[in-house]
Amino acid sequence: MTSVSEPAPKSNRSFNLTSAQRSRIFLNIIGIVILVLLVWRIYIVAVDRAYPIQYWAFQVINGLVLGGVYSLIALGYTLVYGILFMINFAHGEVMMMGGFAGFFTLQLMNSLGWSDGTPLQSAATVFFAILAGMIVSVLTGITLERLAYRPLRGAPRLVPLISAIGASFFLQYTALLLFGAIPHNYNKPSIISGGISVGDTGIFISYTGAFIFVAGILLMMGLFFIVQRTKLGRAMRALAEDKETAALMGIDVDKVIVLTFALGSALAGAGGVMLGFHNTVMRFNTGFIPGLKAFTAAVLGGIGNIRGAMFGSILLGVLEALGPSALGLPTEYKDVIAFSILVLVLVFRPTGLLGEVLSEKKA
Amino acid sequence: MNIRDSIRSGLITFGLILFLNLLGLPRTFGSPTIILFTVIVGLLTLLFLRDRHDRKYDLPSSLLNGAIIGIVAGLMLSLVTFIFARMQADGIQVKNVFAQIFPEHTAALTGISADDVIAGVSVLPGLIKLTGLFMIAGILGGGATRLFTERTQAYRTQLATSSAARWLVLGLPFLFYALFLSLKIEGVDIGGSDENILGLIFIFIFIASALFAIRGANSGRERIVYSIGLIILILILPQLTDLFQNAILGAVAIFIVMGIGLNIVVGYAGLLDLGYVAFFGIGAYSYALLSAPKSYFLVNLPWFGGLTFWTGLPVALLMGVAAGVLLGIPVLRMRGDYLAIVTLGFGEIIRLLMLNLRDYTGGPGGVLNVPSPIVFGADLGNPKGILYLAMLFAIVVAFLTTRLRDSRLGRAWLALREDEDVAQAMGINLVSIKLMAFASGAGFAAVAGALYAARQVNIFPDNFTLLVSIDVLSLIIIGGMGSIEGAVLGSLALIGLPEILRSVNEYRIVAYGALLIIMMILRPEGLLPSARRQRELHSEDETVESASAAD
Repeated sequence: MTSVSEPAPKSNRSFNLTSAQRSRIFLNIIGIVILVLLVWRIYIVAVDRAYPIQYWAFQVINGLVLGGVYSLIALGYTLVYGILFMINFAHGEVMMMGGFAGFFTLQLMNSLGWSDGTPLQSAATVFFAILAGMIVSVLTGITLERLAYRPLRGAPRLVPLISAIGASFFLQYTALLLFGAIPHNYNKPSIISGGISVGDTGIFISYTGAFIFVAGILLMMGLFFIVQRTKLGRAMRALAEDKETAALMGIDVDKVIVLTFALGSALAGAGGVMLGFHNTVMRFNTGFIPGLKAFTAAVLGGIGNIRGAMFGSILLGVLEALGPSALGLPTEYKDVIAFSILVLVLVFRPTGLLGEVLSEKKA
Repeated sequence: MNIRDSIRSGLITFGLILFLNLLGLPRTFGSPTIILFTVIVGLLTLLFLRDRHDRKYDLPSSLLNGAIIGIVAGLMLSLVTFIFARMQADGIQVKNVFAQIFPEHTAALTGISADDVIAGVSVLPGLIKLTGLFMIAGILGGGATRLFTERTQAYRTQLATSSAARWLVLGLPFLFYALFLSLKIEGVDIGGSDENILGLIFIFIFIASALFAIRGANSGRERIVYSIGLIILILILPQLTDLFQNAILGAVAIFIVMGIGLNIVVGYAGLLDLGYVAFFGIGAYSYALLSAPKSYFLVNLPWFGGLTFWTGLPVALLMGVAAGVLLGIPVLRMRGDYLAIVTLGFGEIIRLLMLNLRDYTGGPGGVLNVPSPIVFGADLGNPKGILYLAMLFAIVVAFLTTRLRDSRLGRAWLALREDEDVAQAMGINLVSIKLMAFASGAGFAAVAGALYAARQVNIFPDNFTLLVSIDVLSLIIIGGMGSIEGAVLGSLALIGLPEILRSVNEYRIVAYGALLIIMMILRPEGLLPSARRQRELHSEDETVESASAAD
């Protein structure tokens, strides 16, 4: 009897892999092949084009700024996903609404002459634009939660997702009809226009970029503080862990979910105004692609993970800025690169770079 | 307490009307908008007061509360319109913020001309009239709540299940067919409106009511005879319609093919695919590039003579299936939400490639002069030919899909949709059935794409945006997921109607978005769902099931 239950001889063991193990090995081999091909391509292009260091520095700075904006949006995805396990597909549109609010505030301040007034007035203009963006986004976000998501809590997973897709297109084309198809040009207040050159290296840093990056970091630190140190944050984390138990512990689930949407939307609103400053235009479909990219960033870092979202966003911003030049492609392909990164991450590391290992049901 | 509730309802009504107002309905429709708004106020009042049926309302209090809702909504709208009118009279450009608020907009709501608005003529009489209308609508809505007491409810159920109602449902398609035919008779003029459009509306109602009628027929011989009769009527339809009507019906039929294909992926296998347009585009481009005289392949490969429609179709199908499998492999391990985003990204990548690979695809200039299909020497490159082809494809695809659904594979898909882990535990090979779902859905889309390319003659990357995916998804969700009739109904409503109501076209996507949300909340199984789907989504409440079984 004992001889039957003995393990198979060692030499045979490596051939008796389960199918899951086999597909994982197969995937890893493909991954390595793709990586080698990419490195090879980058090497060829680098030798061929030989861009100066200033060019790369410019692209990295650009990428960091873009990454800062993405991270403000990505945090909203991550917060909501962490608690409800649903992708708030309309989050990019929430951001766009904030961007429009910021635009109209800027117009108002411009007509009052504050935008190009004293430094204090100009700074106040920036502050009010961002504040208006945050307020409008919060209103949009919680209305969305109340009308489109709350009635569907507990429904099969496809149902809220379809509702969210509907909400996304609803908001996009509502904005088109409300505000028109023409691009709305952001006029930058004087305090954040211009920039400085770093020494005599020829590297140029725009004040807008610097402001976006710094303000983004500050806002994210604020969020981090809320989530980690306050009672609301504790309630949010409890919900993310186990909704039923949290409710039994006396947490008002609806209220915390609304506040989560509000927090995420506030960051998105600020992100929308900053994106406006960065791109200098705002259109009805401005939110869609950045929304997708921010989602990609959240997945890249590990969705449901706040630090992951920040890290993933910065990484994605930089990769997107460097990618086309590094691979020797025209810049129109930057969206293709971002989406390819999303696919590759989901295939080779579905939990993201910093993600915890979620159980299959959650992921 | 009642009063406060009513004021709140009035404010919600106002919110909705203000929203429609800012979207620019008055500017698009002119003064009939007031009627539309009045009807909306009446319906919403009915809805609000009916929801309060728990507290036994008597007639006077219903009327009073209705009046309050109407007055609140009317006064608030008047206030906003008054402010806009003042601003327009003072020369402030409201349209710099709200792009639709022109003087014409104010004029449509107040019954004076746009010039008068700018000149500062008082809008108060118009606004008083508006408030009055809203109040009357509110009172009528409040009165209408009487129709929803328990007694009338029972009566209506009785009426709906009576044999007269059944014969009405069965007879309705023929009635509308006859109405359509009567338009052909010399000298007949219904309502003095555009004959083409009216005819098309009759056709749409005919087909839609036919779908419901087939459901209403007793199963067995009655249903078979009835279905065959209706199908014959539909098949002779293209002979009776004109070019314009055939062109629109052709688009509807192509979208039916796509809808049925997407149904396999989303409705049966439960894999949400937002990049469905990619396969449509691949099918269209495969056929177009291999057949159009000035495409890359025909110009640069002199030995290659180009394909006809009938040799191009299998190529398009194969390309679509291959693309489906290629997309399927990396996303095999993903679930719901991730899958949606990745497929969406895939769709965008394909479109960006069409746009940017100028040397091969022609870039933004597209592919021109795609040859039309030829059958036994007859050129089908006209709306009627395309419509017949599309109908043929739709029938073939519908047949194949039904067979697939009832096969072992189909049951495996349903199991997959229900619970992936359990399905796997039951011995289902997830990899192969997921790939089969993607491949068959993609293949059908590619066939539709090839036909679309033949229909359009010139195709451009802009024909294949994300909005096409959203159109197809919306149409199967609103029509009813997992059912072929649902795809037909959805395609008529979402593709056909906007083609007729051109002026409404700009509101199309806003309406789709709202419809998707509303459908998900009220009736996630769609208007004409498959029986199974209906049971799944309403297993716990029997009332809904019996109510819709009576339909």
